[in-house]
Amino acid sequence: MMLKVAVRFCGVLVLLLLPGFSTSVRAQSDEDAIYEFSCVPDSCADNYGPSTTGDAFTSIKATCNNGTVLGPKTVTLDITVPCTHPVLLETSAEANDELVVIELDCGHYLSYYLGDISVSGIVIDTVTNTEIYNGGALSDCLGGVSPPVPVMGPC
Amino acid sequence: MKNALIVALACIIGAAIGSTCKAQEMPKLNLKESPSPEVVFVPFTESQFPDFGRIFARTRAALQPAAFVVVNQSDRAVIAIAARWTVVTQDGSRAHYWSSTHMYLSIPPAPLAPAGGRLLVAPDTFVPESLVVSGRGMIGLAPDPEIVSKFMAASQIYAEVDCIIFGDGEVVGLDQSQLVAEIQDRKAAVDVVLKQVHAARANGENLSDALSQLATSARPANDSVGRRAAQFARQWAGTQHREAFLSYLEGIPAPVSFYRKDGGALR
Repeated sequence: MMLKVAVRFCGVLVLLLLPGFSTSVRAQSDEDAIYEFSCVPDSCADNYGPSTTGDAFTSIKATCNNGTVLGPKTVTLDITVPCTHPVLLETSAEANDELVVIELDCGHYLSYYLGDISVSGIVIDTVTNTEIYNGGALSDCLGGVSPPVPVMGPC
Repeated sequence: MKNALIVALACIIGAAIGSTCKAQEMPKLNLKESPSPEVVFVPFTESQFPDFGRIFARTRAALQPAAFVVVNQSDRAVIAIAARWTVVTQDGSRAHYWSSTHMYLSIPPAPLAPAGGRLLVAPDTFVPESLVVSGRGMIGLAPDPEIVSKFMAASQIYAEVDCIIFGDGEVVGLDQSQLVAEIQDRKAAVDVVLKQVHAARANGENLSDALSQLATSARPANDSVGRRAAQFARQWAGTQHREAFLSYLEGIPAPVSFYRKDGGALR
């Protein structure tokens, strides 16, 4: 049974500004921010379960203001051998723009928005209501690398 | 999978009309020597490692030519590994893919390959031998379809292990993948999140407020710990299983102290 959970897209444009930033600096630095994105499914979340077989899938892609295309970044939780307990597979994706600050010299700062997309998957054992697996990936407008992949786990 | 079916169908039709039909040859894996004399790499074949065969039954079928088995001949567990593949296509173009893992990602943390144990390694795929022989269910992240398609188009595949970390903390290999930093920064980020959680609870504050502040605060460039902490905070906000997620974070132990035998720099 495929259950779509509540809309969970998180397009956060952070509006925290440190004092002293000029408009021109912000305008130049916005090129590292996310320009547009799309998700499958539209909610950027998929939820499969409870089940001992099956998989859950969420994918996201985005374009940065600098023209870099991120993704598609995909997270698929895959049960290779049927689980002994019913589990709930939860996958999600999000796009973010976050404010990053560089200290140029004493008292002078440059700020810019850095966009990233991330996907994550967790598995919940429905009998014990505990998380038994957690993994995901990240990609940003500066070409950030993906984090490690957890080893295949028991379920 | 679709391509494989088309090739198989073409072979059947070709055989039926008496023409010769050569199956697409799997590229040979060129595997670089291990950076540790105590750990041996063997290209994967199903005949040699039948227990791992089922891993390639579905989404990972195209990754089989890129797979190898890490045989830990030491008396210490292998707790982290990073590998790099270079895929050469028919037109001569090259692409690189990194995959790494470590024991602190597992719940509960467990060695990848105990002393004398083995670990299957392929792009986006790490499978401890203990898991496949346990008879239990198996779950994991499926490899990225984009990466799978690149390996399907490979004419040559090269693989090398960039870093191995043993259970006593010894780091072997160049660690261009910055696996040591990854493990340390991830744990530091977990601690940042948990500190916020504990402080909010102690002060009777709203946890959502505390973590949303963490998720959206300005961070200095190259603040690896801060970015990871923000991502954990967003994951907490996004999941329907927030308590289970916090328990998962609470269960991540401090990593061992890393070292190199020659005293070289770690990061």
